[in-house]
Amino acid sequence: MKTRALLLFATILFANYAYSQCDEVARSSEKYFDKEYVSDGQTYRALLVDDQVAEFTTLFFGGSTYRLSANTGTEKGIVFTVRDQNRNVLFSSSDFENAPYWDFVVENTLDCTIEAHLDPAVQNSGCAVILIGFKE
Amino acid sequence: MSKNISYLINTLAVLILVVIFVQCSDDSHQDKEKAKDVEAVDVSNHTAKSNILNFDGELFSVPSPIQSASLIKKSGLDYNADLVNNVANIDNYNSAFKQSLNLGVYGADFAYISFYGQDQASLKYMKNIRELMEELDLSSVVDKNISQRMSDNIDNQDSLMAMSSSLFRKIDNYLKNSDRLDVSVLILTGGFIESLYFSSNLAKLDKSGAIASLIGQEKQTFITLVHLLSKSDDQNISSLVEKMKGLEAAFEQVTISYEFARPVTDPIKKTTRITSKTKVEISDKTVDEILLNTASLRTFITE
Repeated sequence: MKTRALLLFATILFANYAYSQCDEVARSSEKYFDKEYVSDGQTYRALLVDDQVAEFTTLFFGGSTYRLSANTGTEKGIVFTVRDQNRNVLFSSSDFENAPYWDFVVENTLDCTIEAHLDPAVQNSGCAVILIGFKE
Repeated sequence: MSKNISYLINTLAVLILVVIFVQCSDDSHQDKEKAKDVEAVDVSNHTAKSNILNFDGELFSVPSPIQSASLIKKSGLDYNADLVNNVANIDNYNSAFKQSLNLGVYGADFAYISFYGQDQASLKYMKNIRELMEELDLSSVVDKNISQRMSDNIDNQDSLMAMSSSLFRKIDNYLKNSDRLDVSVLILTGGFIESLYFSSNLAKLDKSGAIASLIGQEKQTFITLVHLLSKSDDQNISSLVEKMKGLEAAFEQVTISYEFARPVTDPIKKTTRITSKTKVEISDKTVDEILLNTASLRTFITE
């Protein structure tokens, strides 16, 4: 019983710590966006442990260029992958030494899935933050 | 000062965690597994605030209202002042539900107005955005001089858009940090519906069909949004979802076909060109139905 109460307390403290960690990672991700790129107004974030994968779908408009950044606060600690609606891989940062950001020139509008997971060789837990910016 | 306190609290939290885990090290294997499970829980679900939605830790994305406004402007259509929500309507928004939705609505209005260089009007909308932020206890997110800085840059569209998008990203981050996902989703929903209201009203005027195609391409985003909101047991959000059903049925009539093409990557420029093709089939009748249902939903949100 005592252990459970302590674990609950620990979880709340851990969450508090994780929140502040996410906040710092989100702030540090801004360095990948110069004035050229306008933010999409959202912060995509998830606390990842071991081989957990964070995933979301997004719409890329044709004729636009997008910049994606993925960050955990640890250099090269995260791998991000862009897939099309049929799960074909359009890009994976693992092919480019876990590059922290990449630009995508989109010719035709399409729905994409963005996946992110930790690189186990670098870290086992952390807050993953993905930011998206665009330019016309 | 507050940063130091925050750092102290976080450091203390880690120290206590270490002590606790050391203390628990003699417990059974089963308890250890439980601890691991607790640690792996998505942080978005941990606090018990009264109106928190459980989105199962799902991440979601909606198109930026700024980008939608930019695409409308690029299509060459004239500005239509009748499309934006009346600034005076702010007096009607007395609940967090309506305030959140209309923060998104006024954000989309601000983008649309600003792209068409309606400087003085855009300042009125920024004032409303600030007021709703105060109502939603979001004032601390941005510095107090944001309105002044926007006013100073009123002729510089790029700066204005950068400041506006940065403002909404900071709001989104703050809300996720504070475990207020419901407010975050409602702001995004309000902005998305307002943008859709613009494009569905303007589609008939656009002879190229680009705006109609833009609407059709937002089908999956809308369906995802309905799916996420449906998970809430909040009464207000349930009634919003109910109002979205007609629009969902209209979107179901849109057909999207997709053809994969191998992308081309330039590692030196850190750039990938995506050349896959998407074809959207959306009839005039479907555009009309989307307009009708969007207008009805938008009335529910703004009145």
